[in-house]
Formats: sequence, structure tokens, C-alpha cells
Amino acid sequence: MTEKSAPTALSRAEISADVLLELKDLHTHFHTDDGLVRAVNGVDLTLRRGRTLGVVGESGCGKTILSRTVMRIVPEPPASISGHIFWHRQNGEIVDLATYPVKARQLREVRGKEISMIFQEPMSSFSPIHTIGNQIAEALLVHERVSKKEAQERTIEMIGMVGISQPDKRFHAYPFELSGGMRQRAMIAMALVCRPTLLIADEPTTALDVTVEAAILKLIKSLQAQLGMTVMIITHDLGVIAKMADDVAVMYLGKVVEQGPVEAIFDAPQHPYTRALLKSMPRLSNTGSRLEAIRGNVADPYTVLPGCAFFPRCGEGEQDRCTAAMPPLVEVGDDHLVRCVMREGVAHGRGSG
Amino acid sequence: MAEAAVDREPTKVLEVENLKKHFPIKAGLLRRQVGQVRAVDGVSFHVEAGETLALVGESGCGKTTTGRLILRALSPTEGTILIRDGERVWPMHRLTAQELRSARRSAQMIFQDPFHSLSPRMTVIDIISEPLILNGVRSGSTRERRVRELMDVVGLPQQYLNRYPHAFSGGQRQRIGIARALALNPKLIVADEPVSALDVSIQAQILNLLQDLQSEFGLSYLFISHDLRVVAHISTRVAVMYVGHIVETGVTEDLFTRPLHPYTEALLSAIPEPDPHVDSEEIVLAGEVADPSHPPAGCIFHPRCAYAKKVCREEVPSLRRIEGRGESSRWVACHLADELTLRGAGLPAPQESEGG
Repeated sequence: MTEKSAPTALSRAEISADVLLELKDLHTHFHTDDGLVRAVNGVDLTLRRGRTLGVVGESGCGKTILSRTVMRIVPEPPASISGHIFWHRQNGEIVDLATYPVKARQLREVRGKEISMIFQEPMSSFSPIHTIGNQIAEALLVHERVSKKEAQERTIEMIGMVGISQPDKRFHAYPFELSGGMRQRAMIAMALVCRPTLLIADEPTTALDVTVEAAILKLIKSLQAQLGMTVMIITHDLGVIAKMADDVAVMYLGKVVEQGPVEAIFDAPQHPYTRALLKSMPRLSNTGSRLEAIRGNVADPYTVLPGCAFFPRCGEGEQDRCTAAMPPLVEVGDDHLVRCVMREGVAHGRGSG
Repeated sequence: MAEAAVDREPTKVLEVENLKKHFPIKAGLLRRQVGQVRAVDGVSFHVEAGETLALVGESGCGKTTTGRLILRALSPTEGTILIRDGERVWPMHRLTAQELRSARRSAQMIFQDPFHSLSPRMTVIDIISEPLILNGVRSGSTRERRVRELMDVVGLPQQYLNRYPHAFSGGQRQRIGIARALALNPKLIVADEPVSALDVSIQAQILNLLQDLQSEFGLSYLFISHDLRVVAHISTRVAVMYVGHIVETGVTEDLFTRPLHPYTEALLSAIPEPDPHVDSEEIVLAGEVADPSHPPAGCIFHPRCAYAKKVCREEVPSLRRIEGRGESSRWVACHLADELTLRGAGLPAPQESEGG
């Protein structure tokens, strides 16, 4: 599989039953006073039903903008979106979310109903002056033809499902009355009350303590099994990825540089950036040794580097090959793709590099 | 000034005993005190020369307050804090403002957020030379020489001397903060979550720098962190805090492989290890962290502890020494420490079979 030269309409052959979301040559560019920021710069990704895709990368790699682009909640302008977001709807229809105007009815039908999202900061996702119960029930009243009474019943059921005790009492609680972990659970209840097909979780546990984080991750996993959801989890923490994801996409400066099944990414990482990221991470199992830091910093977002954006920090690149052109995605294993010219010709090569 | 006591253990750079900080809760028109938050409630520990003691715990456990008390950014309610610098011993808990200025030559602080701990209106040379000016280095050329030297030490290019903090990345700003802390050759550095705001690749650079500086200048660190992976990597010994109390201390490896306190066990089980083959079963703690203004009777952890017995609900456990577990002495505040066998952190995974 190689770089898509021009985005084409989806051919029938490419549609398989287990595909839920397909991103094709997706770009989200921001026009700012200081220049053009290519936050998402040509991403191709496929999400399969029932699985968990982990998107990992450091600050500024575009992972959050990618998830917001799928939801179409980036502000347009200054952003402009191009490419395709093929969404397989619950009724079997396939729609391209990238083509609709921001306020389109079709988007509102999908957003919050079929795809919903949880955020890092639960406090800022709730209005402080309404009870959490009413805020959760609101999603139901907007998206489904239900009576207030039914909405309340389903909300209370959902609050119980996310592990909040005494759900009928907590229905009437205000956000400030809940602890950070409980608020995060309430937000999950709000996201799931309409039973979405896809849950996007953007750094869902970054603001939480480690014991609370463990409980929330466990909750997301068990709800996924119970409700048969697909999950896309955005994080900077490779530990969270290892625990949660079936498939991984590693992002660097707006591009996916490597993607594949979680075991392949951790056991036989191919992109120099993925390798460096794994080595720079402190682990419990090798505490004595020195960490291998990645030299330098991420390039500023306005600069366009020729060829591979990671080359200036890469330890194994070759000037001529790496800066000539953006490397294509090459397949190095089953469903394992890497965007690095140094890996061309090592197709299906596993293990050491 | 207090420079007398020389008969203290000479290798201890920092000694803290029975340190307490109670913040008053005031209410009503007359702002009468109606209660108190026991943020730090009787902690004792020491830091030896050249070692890194990690103070770990979750939000609100009092670890940051403890760090601030040591440098007297806050005044303690009770307890003693001694900082030793060569022949001098500074009794930090009772120094006057004037004396503190000299004492802070021996101990400095590094903060978590490199975006807020540096003044946006000061250039790098102003920031790093500020402690020199405050401590009477008058000559501008001497100061500039020292600043350039410090920039070399922390790995900042000297040509950035006159730049403002906004022109730097998070990692570089943290380097500026470290250079400022080193300006007066301190013995002890209190580092409060120094890498928590940084990306993992930059975090590794700063952790390596801190380790290099430690061996080069013989620094001692009190390393305050919630990140147990970072702590496992950098610290010699660990002290675990829970709601204002130290519940356990020990040499890092012993404590991680054989925790003695049920809270430590739960903390360790919750760390997500970056290895998809490790399928650890995390211990989910019941309930919420105790309220430090209304701590429960008995052991502060008992309402959430799966092992709690009658004695735990009635008597406060003291921090006591346990022999014969690990190479060095272990201290734990748990009535049941002798009976329980607790699970340590995930066993070492096979090393990566990867060379490139």
C-alpha cells in the first residue's frame, strides 16, 4: 500500500462489513496570522468495529485535532478540512462527514448520537449551574423521541452503569459536588447515554490520579464489551495504549508515521520515532539504565520540512533519501504500516532492525 | 545565627521531624476558625548526601505542601526541619526572613510548570542571575560569567542569553529553572513534579540532566512526584504519602518489589506499564480519599483498605521499622505489616530484542 496520490471515492471492494470509520487523506489546516498550521496533514486510518484504536503522540502532533476533525468540532474558520471521513451509519448508509457544512443536519444526527466524545477536563465539560442528571438527559431529549420521564429513567440507569453509587440521588447533584473521578464517570455517562457506535476518548485519564485512572480505564473497557462499542483513545501515555488498544497509530507533526496491531508496535517498532519514544520512557522493568532521550525539539508548526519531518531528530536517517520527499507508507507486516524510507524493501521483515 | 549543632549525623542533608501544617478553615462574618485541614500531619524523613528521596502520593496527599514547608515558602505549624550544608546546619523551621535568604543558598526549588514559574518580562540572564544579585554578587561581569557557565552546565546555548522565556520550549524552560536553582551551589534541591508537564521525549532529557548534575555536583534531591515510573527510574529511596501521613518508606527496589503498606500495593498495581503483554490486575480502591479536615479514626487508610481489621479502625498505626525485608531498613505505618504479603509492581518484562 502506498501514499494515496489523489483521494478517490470509495470503491465497493474497499467496503468490508467490519469497517466503521475510514479517514482518507484527511487534512485540517489552520490559517493563523503567523502562518498556516498543518495540524492534521494527510492521515489515512481505518477503524474496525468493536476494536480500540489508540492514537499516540506528543504535544502538537495533531492527535487531538484529528479526533475533533472526525467529530467536526474544530472551529471553521480558522480551520479548513479536506479529505474524507467515511462514516458507516447505524442504518447502513455510508456518509462522508468531511463534505457537510458545519451546521448540517446530517452532522448533528451523527455527532453525540452515533459518535460521542469524552474529554480530559471533566469540570469544563459540564455546566456548573445544571444538575448532572439534567445535562446527561439533555442528550437523549435532543437525539431521541423520548418523554422526560423516560429520559430520566435511562439517565439514572446510565449513571449506575458507570459505577456511581445511588444513581437516583446523584441525578440531582451538581458537578462541583463530585470528585474528579466521579465527574469523569458522569461525563462517560453523558457520552454513552445515546448508545453511540464510536466513543472517542481524548486523554480521558490525564488529569486523574493513578488509582482513579486505573478504575476509569477498566470502566471504559467493560462498557465497551457491554455495549459493543468501538473506541478511539487519544493519549500521550504509551502505558495507557498498551493497556487499552488493539491497534495503534503513532503521530508526529500531523502525520501517522506508523500504525499496526499493538503487539507489533511494542514488540517490533519500525519507525525511528516509535522506537525512540518507547526507549525514552521510564519503565518499572529497567530502572537502572539511562533513558535514551530524543535529541532536539519538535519543529515549530509553521515550518514545512522537506521530506520526513522527523529527520532532524532521527538517529538513523540519510540526508539525501529522507529529505527528498515525504516517505510513503510501506507495509512491513500484517496491517503494520510505516512511513520511513529506511524501511522500504524490508517488507514483512519482523524483529530487529 | 544557628550554626552550632555539629553532632548531627553528618551525611544527612535534610532532616525533617514531626512536621505538621494545618490550614485553618474560616467561616462566618467574623472569619472564626471552624476547623482545620491537616495537609501535613506529622511526617518525619531524611535525605542523605548525594541521594534522591522521592516523595510520592496522589493529589492532596500533602507532598507539595511538605516541599514548600522545607524551603519555608510556608511556615510549619509544628516540627523541625534541619538542612545541613558542610559545617552549617540551618534550622529552617525557625529562621527569620533575613536568615532564610542565606539559608536558601543551601537549598533551592525546581517547579512543575516551566510556563508559569519564569517571569515573562525577564531575559534568561536576568532570571538566572537573580539569586546571585539577592546574595550579594555585585559585579555584572562576574554574574554574566557565572550565568554563561550555568547555561553550559544545563545545556542551553549561550547565544540565548538575552532571550525571553516565551521563545523557549517547555524542556528548555525547565533547563532555565534548573540553572537558576543551581546558581548558588546548593546542596539540596527540592524538585516538585519537575517533568510532569513535559512530553516523554523531553522528560527523558531532563531526567538525564538531573542525574548528571547530581553526580557532577554531589546534589541531593527531594523529588516530589505522582508518577511512579519516573520515581522508579530516578530515586534511591521512596516515601509514600497518603492524606498528610507517610505510610511507608524504603529503598526504591525493595519498596517496588515488596510493598509493605496496602496503599503502596494499590498504587503500584495501578501503574500502566508500556507493554501490551503485561496484563496486571489493578486493585481498585473503594471509596474516596479521606477528607484531611475530618480524618477517620484509627488508620487513615482503613476505610479503603481491603485488609482492615478491628485494630485498624481504632488505633493510629505509627511508622515503625521492619527488619529483614529487603537489604536496608523499611519503615511502615500499618498494624498488619507483619502478617500481610503484598504484591509488588509488574515483574520485569523481557528486554526489547531490538538494536537499531
